[in-house]
Amino acid sequence: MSESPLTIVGLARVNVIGQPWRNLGLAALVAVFTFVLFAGSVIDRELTKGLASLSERLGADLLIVPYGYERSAKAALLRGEPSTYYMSRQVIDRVANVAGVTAATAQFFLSSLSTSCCSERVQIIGYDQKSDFLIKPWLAAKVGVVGPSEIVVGSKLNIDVGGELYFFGAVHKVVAKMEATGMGLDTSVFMPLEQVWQLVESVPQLEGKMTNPADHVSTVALKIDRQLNVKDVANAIMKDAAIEFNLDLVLPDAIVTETSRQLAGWSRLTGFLAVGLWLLALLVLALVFSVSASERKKEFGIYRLIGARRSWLGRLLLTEAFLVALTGAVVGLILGACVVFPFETLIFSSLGLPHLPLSASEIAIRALLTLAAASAIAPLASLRTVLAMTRGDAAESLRSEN
Amino acid sequence: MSLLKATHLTKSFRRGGQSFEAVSNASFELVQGEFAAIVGRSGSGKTTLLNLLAGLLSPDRGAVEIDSVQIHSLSDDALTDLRNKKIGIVPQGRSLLGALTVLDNVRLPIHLSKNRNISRPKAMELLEQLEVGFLAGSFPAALSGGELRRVSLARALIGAPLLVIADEPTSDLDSESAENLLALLRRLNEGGMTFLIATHDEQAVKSSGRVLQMASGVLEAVLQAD
Ligand SMILES: Nc1ncnc2c1ncn2[C@@H]1O[C@H](COP(=O)(O)OP(=O)(O)OP(=O)(O)O)[C@@H](O)[C@H]1O
Ligand SMILES: [Mg+2]
Repeated sequence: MSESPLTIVGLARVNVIGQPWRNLGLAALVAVFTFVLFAGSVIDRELTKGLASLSERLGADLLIVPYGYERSAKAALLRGEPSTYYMSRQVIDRVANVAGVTAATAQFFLSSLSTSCCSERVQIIGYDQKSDFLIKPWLAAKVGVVGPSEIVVGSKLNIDVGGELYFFGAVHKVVAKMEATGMGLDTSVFMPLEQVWQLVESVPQLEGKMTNPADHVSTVALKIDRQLNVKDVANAIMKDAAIEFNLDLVLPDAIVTETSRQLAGWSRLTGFLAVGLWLLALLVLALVFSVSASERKKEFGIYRLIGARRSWLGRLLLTEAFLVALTGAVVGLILGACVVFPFETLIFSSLGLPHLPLSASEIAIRALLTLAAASAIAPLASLRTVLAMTRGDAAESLRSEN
Repeated sequence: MSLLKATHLTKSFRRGGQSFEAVSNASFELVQGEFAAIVGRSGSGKTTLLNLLAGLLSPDRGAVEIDSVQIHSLSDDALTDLRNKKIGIVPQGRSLLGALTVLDNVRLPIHLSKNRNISRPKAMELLEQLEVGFLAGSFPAALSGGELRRVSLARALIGAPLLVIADEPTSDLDSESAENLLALLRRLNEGGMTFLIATHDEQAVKSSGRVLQMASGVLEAVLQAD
């Protein structure tokens, strides 16, 4: 014979298990709410972090790309979608001399490649070591001059400083690794411009091979005088060089603004969904508890008969509600974690938004808040029942024939 | 010394828009160690009276004193605690919790007050004495009417109450089982426990030292047994 602990929790457990289907249904409802709130808030926070870091360290006020590649440039920036487009290297000097431009640095995008390090294709980016202000903010330690056959890698590449990467017939030594950016930079490999040009010359079977690669760059990033309006400078560049060199301009700030608008929409959607599900769970639990309380009138009468105080009964009901809500909440949290964390990369690449992973404490806080919100359903849903039950004579409850 | 004292107890109910007194101006006293029976036709108000005495129902008028305490002036918690510690109740009809085993049903009253350790051996002993020990691990749904009555009595006795109020304790029992049950009650009564039972059962009436007769809510006659 099994020993039942005749405590409130023990009795609540027995009572909850005694109605398995009903309580499983209620727990499932709480689980759905918990899942949405937890997964939603984690994803939301990762996006917010990604965006914050993007706008904080996005070095350029203006990006110049060949005409027609504005979209590709955005995709490359946010998602790291490989892109290859080129324009004349003369653009650098031309735009650097436009009034208001305080700094200019060029990059050269080489077609992507598969290497042993990575499941996804990585993009090789050539950058100008002297004028660079795009890569530097993401490097924790100061990096000396990057020499021949040396590379800097993005945070998502599965290789560390000192490691070697083999591509295009040569071994490349990793001399620095960037911090996570949440952007396309995370899956890129960086080397000095001169070396990329040389690589293009030396690899005969290269896709999209061009003559005189050293005359080409893919993009020029500009810093603009803080006193001036970026749009005005952009217009000046348009007038001066856009037609001649067939250029397009990308305003990274506009990307941040647009992304944050998308993000706000996403947050609002998650918020509405969570609140709606919370209310739904509350309503359904309250209804079911209230219906079952009238079925259980006789049972309550028996408890009163043998000397259970009304407050004791109230606690019993509350504990039952808590058990149901907590079971649902824990299941929802586990499901949320099982979906969000393993499939993060997939989720975010389909959203096409930058993101950064959360620390353990940030995740714990979200889990606890979600648990609290789910647990709050229990007392609220059983409130009516507890109040109804505390009225009337015990003899009346005993007479009820359920 | 008077253990139970009812004075001018009155309780009315409504039926078909009319109010009627289910218990009408009932007064009587039980001294400690008494064994009294309430008899009367069905619907005469026996259960209503017992509910008033046990503090399960509040009277319209009158008072109930148990062990020198006016129970209906107590707070609900105090009355509940008094019921738990001093009164053992066997209500009419089925009254076991279906989710608990027979043994746990019997143990539960003790777990509501703080005195927990003795519950298991004491409950087993009572169930054995009432010849339902073999049912300890069963659930109430599987029990016969007579078995349920006896488990319900065991539950009423577990806290060693001063007063036992039992509503037809021998209903659903064959005469041999009823006689065994009554013998246990008499033994406990000899030990000083006070009993008040409502009954239709001749055997039970014979066990009683005093018989109260109810008719239409009125406590008509108080017969002293020989
Ligand atoms: N809550 C109630 N509402 C209305 N009428 C009630 C209520 N409780 C009892 N009555 C009525 O009061 C009268 C007395 O009922 P009670 O249950 O006390 O009778 P009883 O003597 O115990 O009968 P029995 O021997 O059949 O158990 C009955 O007519 C019954 O219908
Ligand atoms: Mg009755």
